[in-house]
Amino acid sequence: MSAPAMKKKTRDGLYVITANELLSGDVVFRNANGGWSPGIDASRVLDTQDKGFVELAEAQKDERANIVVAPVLVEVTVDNGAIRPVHIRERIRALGPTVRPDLARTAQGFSINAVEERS
Amino acid sequence: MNVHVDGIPAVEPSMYRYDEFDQSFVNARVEQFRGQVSRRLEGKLTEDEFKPLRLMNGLYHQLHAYMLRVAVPYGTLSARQMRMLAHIAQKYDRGYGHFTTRQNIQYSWIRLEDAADILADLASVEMHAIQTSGNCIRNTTTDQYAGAAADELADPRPVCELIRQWSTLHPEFTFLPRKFKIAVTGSPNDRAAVKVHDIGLRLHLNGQGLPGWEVIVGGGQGRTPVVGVTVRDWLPEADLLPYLTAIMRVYNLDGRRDNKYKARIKILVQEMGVDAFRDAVEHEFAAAPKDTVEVDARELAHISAYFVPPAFERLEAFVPETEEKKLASREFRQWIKANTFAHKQPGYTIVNASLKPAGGIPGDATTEQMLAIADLADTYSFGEVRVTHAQNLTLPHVRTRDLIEVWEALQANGMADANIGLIGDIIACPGLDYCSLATARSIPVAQEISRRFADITRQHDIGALKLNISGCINACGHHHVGHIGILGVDKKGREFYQITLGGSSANETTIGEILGPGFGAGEIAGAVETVVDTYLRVRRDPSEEFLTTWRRLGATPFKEALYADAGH
Repeated sequence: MSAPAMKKKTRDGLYVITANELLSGDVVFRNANGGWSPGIDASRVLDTQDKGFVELAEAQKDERANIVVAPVLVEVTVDNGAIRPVHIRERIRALGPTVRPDLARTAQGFSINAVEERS
Repeated sequence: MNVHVDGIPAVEPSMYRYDEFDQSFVNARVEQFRGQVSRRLEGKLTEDEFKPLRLMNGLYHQLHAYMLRVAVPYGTLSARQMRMLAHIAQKYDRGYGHFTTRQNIQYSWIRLEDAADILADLASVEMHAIQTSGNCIRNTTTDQYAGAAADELADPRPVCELIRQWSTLHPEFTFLPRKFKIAVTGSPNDRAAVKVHDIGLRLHLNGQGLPGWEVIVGGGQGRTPVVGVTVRDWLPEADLLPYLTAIMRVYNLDGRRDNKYKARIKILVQEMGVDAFRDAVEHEFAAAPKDTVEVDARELAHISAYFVPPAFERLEAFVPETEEKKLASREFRQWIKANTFAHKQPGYTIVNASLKPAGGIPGDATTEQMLAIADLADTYSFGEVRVTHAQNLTLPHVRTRDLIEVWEALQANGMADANIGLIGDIIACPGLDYCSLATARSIPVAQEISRRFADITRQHDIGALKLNISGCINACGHHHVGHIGILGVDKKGREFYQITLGGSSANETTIGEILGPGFGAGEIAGAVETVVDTYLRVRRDPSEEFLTTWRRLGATPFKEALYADAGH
């Protein structure tokens, strides 16, 4: 009898997929239409890590199609529809450098001036 | 004031100029990269295949976008080159660039489709981004006052250029175990941090007055900070390249490749032991053919001809108008004290333009500031600018009688904060605001500290104090050698900051000592203020500098004050 297949351990939580556009290098998020958007608010939220991995596999097709580079799963929280990455690094990635609010993108869930709050 | 605005350099600066070979090589490299980018965009190269190619041309991918790191050989720029850096900032980036602790400049918002055009623009002014990444010999760094300082024995830049030419695309040293950094000083007062580089070279005169190089190996910062050790006290200049080659061969052969964190030459020197390492180098050096030595000497003489001093006027050292202004204006007096340095030529002064305004981003310069400094260089400094490893800019050859005009022009462009070498002159890496490797932000900490110490008179009362901040253990912000060093770390998803005291990259190089538990983002600036207040309380008198007090008293008074105040 063969050993049972090892099931990959997954974490509970909410996830979005982010990458960088190949041509511009800009941060982008995988949206509900399976395309890529510059703002995190447009992200498709995956409610398990398993679903995240399935979506990531789709996103990797776009990497092979030379649309984006290095897609990854990012854990987020969602509060009244506002998406917020759990880790400060991803919050900064989503909005831009905290020291240059003039260059910032926008998100409903957090602002560039308060990116470190609740970390 | 009389400032050139036509973009045409008024004078030919004293610096190396590309010959036909250099120019055709750099041009060819641009076109090669243009082809590589095209193939990437057409899908003929995968990202895994393309990544090493773009990195060989200085194109990184950072937190927000592609980042281009442009080499500024040994920190020397002509006004024309500075104008091109401004042009790139304006046309291809977001109106600014970031001068680094490696005397280079980085652009943080580059589009891949523009990268080859940028490199072509750089090539048009004899610049490139080659070997600003990868496990190769990186840009050689040196004293920002080279060729100007009153205290130097000789201009180290010809040797820097010789090393640049030797190390550029050197087939033997293109895939080293790890990156490799060489720093050179021609002054007995080290301003190039030679003891915390893979190789440090320090010029000495022997008993006969002949120049030779002390060779220091195995220094470095990063996760394992080490002060380099001297393997040769005095190496004849003609032997320099053969000896460097011998060091590189020992490292290339025996340096570890199994663990990138143990792959720098400092680890090899430590694991072999200094004596065994030196023996291995000497053996390699003795065995190597010496038929290149004469060629090197000829090449060095050829290079040196580019670095003849500018056509200085014969001027009186004492300028009454400048002295009167110093008496009349405390601001000017403070600026002269902190931001100028003695020049070797009477009647001339070295001027530092501070890129550290209170609350500003250390090392960032706008397009307008770059253009302004280029104009000032043309008008007042023989067309020359230097980038300092402390992330400021230097006008190396300003007539003392022009200081008031230069000061006013720098004031008008936000580069006249009188804080060079003081607590406001903070070195900070880009940190988590820009860098993929960072674990915490550096810049906001620097901003808050510089705001707290914004009063220039207070900074002068505190005296010489170097405060360096790194956003991760890689130590690009040189925190190990800050008199006060701050290291940002990630502690369970929160930014935390560790303080070290007593570091220095000057002649008596020391690695800072960790003081105790770290501080949260909201506490770190206050903790620094406590350290400074403690120093002011315990120093013998205002002439005793922070580092001297630290070396006299050690950690105890600082720990007591800091952890009592912080409630640790």
